[in-house]
Parts: sequence; structure tokens; C-alpha cells
Amino acid sequence: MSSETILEVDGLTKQYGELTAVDDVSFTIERGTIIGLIGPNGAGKSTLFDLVTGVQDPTSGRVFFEGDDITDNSLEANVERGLVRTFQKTRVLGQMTVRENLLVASQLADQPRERAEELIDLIDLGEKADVLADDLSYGQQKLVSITQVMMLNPDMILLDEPLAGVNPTMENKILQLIHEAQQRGTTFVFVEHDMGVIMSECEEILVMNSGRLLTRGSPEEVQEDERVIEAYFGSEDV
Amino acid sequence: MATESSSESKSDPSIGARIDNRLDSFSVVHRLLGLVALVALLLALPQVLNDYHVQVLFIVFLFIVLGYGWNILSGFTGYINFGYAGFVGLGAYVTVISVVDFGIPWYAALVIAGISTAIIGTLISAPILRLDGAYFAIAMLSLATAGQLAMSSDYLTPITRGGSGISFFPALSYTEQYYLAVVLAVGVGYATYRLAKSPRGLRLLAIREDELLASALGVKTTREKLTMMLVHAGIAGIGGGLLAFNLSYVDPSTVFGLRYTELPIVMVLFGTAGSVLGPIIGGITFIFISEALWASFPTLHQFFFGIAIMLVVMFMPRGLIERLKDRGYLPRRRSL
Repeated sequence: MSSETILEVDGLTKQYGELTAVDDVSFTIERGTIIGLIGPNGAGKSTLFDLVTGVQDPTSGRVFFEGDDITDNSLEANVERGLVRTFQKTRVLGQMTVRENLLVASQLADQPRERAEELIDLIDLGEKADVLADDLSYGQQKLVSITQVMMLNPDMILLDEPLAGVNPTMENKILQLIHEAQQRGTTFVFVEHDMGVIMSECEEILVMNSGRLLTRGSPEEVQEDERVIEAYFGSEDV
Repeated sequence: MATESSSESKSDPSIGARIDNRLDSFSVVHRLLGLVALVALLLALPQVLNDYHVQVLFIVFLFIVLGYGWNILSGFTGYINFGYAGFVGLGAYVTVISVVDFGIPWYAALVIAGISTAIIGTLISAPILRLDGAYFAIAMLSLATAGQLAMSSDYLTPITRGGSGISFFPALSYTEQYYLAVVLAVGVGYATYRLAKSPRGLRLLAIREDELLASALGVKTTREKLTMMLVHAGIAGIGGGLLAFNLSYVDPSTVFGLRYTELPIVMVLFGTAGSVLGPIIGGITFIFISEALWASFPTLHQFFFGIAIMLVVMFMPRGLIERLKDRGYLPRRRSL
């Protein structure tokens, strides 16, 4: 493993009875990069996030984070190590205010109150800081859900469709958050269906289809890869 | 706490905003004086009330203590314990056996009851805390039933005296029991207030709202739940000891009775689960309702009580405090 490698996934597989949701997936991620993870619906992207972060146990394969085997770690243990995630379905603590949503993550944050205020200012939600998360718009909830994990000052964040369903203004704020964290040295892998964003924001792209890692490459390489086009649009022969 | 006063509510002329501003203007000395005055008033009441009224007030404060105990786990984390009476019954038995069989002073017996119920309760229920929702509630109910049966089983009869229970002369008069209940209620109420304002209180409420998200935000959910289970069971154990002093006997069907699960749950849900004032409001309301129904309809009071529970769940699922906050009659503070 290279000294710059932050995450290594080796032969990860998840089976549910006869169905193989993730099939022998292996890859490495370099520290400080922004990597896109794409694939058609049902490709196994969210399940892969679950396996890497300890939400689900893999059937086989190993996960290494900063050189240590974290395959059997719980989600909480991984968060403590600096590997955090968001969820495909936006999750916020609806009966808590925006500020409280951030302060919940205070256990691992340095100077949590100052950091919370800094992040609230960064996402322009100062006027909504004492508003319940349930009373925010969908886009604002999405923003809060990403800001929550930023509170943890993690080494690596896995973002599951962070831009789905948000308007362009909100999209810019989320990308601004990601860039701010990257400047602090945070590594990102994000699942996204907006190809424009993936192509412009990511240094490399991993493509999954039917549980397998189809290919990996730069945005230009992936764009021209016949297998990727076929995975999304089907073969002309069919 | 950053959320203690909202900037929005400052300019809002609602009753809740005015209360918010008024609360902000109270200094620590004001608050302390208020608390001392309240406790002094409560302690003076037996001088002007007859024994029956002191006994009713004792029941109110006993259930406020039990309500706070239930709230601290179930109200804050959402792990609804339907078997709370199991801890109350265990505490009652430990207290009485300590006093009767070992000659331990009443205060030490209460401490032993609290500690042993906390440890035994947490050890037994730790695996059950892995379950959630209805499964946790049903498992805890089964555990309490098993505890009740165990007390009357042949194996434990040499210690528990089986179904006939243990009678004794309590060392405390009704008035002293009332004083003790008041002090305990104020103590657990203050502890709940501190918890609600603390980062830990926030983490517990996060577990209630979305445990997976709480884990993803670094909350050590298992550790937090076990800690709260320890406190939850410990308070029930001490409450059970206090109950035993008041009854002057223990038997399985009495101290493991459904009443000691049902009433704390209804009280807290009526007041608002996870709140500070909820157990007080619920305790005062429901104990008086319960006493009035029992006096007027001795055979039907449980039926009417059941109807009252249904109405609370149907029309005020988040409780009175939340309803008042939603309508602007109370400020949105976690310390209420």
C-alpha cells in the first residue's frame, strides 16, 4: 500500500441469499482527492458505502483505512477513526434546531461551538440556526446533513448523492463546503447522478454496474468508455 | 446552551417569547432562591394538611420520582420500557430484605436498593438494548413478568417468602416518607434539568430521533444507552424502596404491579417525553385523576384511566409541553 493511500478495499463482496449486491470489488483511494462513484440504479454503490463504513458486514473481503484493517469496525468506531458518511435518503434530526444538529457531533470536534457557528455562517443558515430542521426546505436539510459530518473534522467523507434534488444555489453551497473541507485535507468519495458535476469536480471516477467495479479512470476516459455507455444506455445489439 | 433563547423569539410578542425573556432575566441567585422557596413550601405542607392529603402528596411525589426515572432512559432515548415495574419491585424487595433480614438502616437499604437494581437491571437488560421499537418494549415487559414470577417461585421463597410476601414496621412516618419523596423528586428533577441542557442530553435525544444518524455523527449509542439504563433502573430501585416503606409490606403482585409501569409512562407521555417539566405536570395531573377516579368509580377506574391514555396518545402524541411550545405559549428551550 502506498503511503498516500487512505482507503483500500480488497475483494469486497456482499450477498443477500442468491443476490450478490457487491461482487469482489477492489480499489484504492489517495489522500486528499475527490473521487466520483457512479453507476446505474442498483449498481451497489450505497451498499458499498455501507460495507466500507461498518453499517453492514461484508460477506467476504477486507477494508483498510490508513493502513489498518477496519473490516469488522462498527460505524461508530469508523467515525472515531475519521471515516464518516452521509446517507442517500437525507437524514437530519428533525426535532432539533440547525445548531443542535451540528452540536450533536460535538464529541469528536475541537471547539465545537466555534466550529458550529463557523459552518453555519459558511452555509448561510445563520438566520435559521434556531429553526427546527423539520421546518427547513429539502435543500437546506441536505446542506445541514453534509455540514453535520464536517463538524467531525474527518479525514475522509463518503457522500451518498449529496446534490440529488437540490437547486443550483444550494448545489453551489454544497460544493463550496466540499472544497473548504478538501483544502483542510479531507478526502471525498461521492455518489452522484449529475454527470456534469462528476465530470467537473472529480479527479477520478469509479464506475459500478451489477455489483462489480466496471472501470476506473479520469472523467475523460470514463466518458469515452464503451462499457460505461452500455451500462447506462444498454447495448445497441439488444 | 446555544439554543436556549432564539433570536426569532426575542422579537416575537408571544407568551412563549415573553416567558423566554423573563427566564433570561433571572440570575442564578434568583433561580436558587426560587428553588429554596419551593422546597420550603413543599416541606411545610404537612403542617397544614391532614394525613390523607399528605399520603396523596406522597404518592404524587413518588410517581414524579418514578416518572423522572422512566423519562431518563425512555423519554430521552426513545427506548420505551414497558417493564419498569420489574425494577420498582426488585428495589422494593432489596430494601425490605436489607432492613428486615440484615438489620440495615433504612437510608443504607435505599442506597443498596438503588445500586443493586441499577447493576442487576443493566446487566439483564443490556442484550435487550440491542433490540429497538416494539421488540425492546415487549422484551422488557416479559422481563418484568419473569421477575414477578421469580419472587414467588419455590427457589426464592426462603428469601422472598413467596406469594405471601414480607410485612414489617417501617422506620419512617408518613410525613418523613413525604419529605424523602420531595427531596428525591427535586434531586432527580434537577439532574434531569442538567442533563437536558448538556451535550449528553442532546446526544440522547439524537438517539431517539435517528439512532443510525447519531452513530454516524460519532455518538457512542451503546455506551449512552447503558449509562442511562443504569440511572433509569437505579431510580426505580430507590423508588421501589420508598414504596415498600409506604406500604409496610412487599408481595410480588403489589410491588411488581402494572401500575408502576403504566402510570410513569402515561405521566411522561402526557407531559412530553424527554422534557424536564413533563414528569411533574403528568404526575400531578394523572395521580389526582387516578385518585379521583378510584374514589368515585372503584370498579371502573381502570377503564376510565385507559380511555384517558387513549385520548392522550390520539390527540397529544408529543405531550403538553411540546404542544405549548408549538403554539408559542412556552419558549423552545430544552430545559423545560
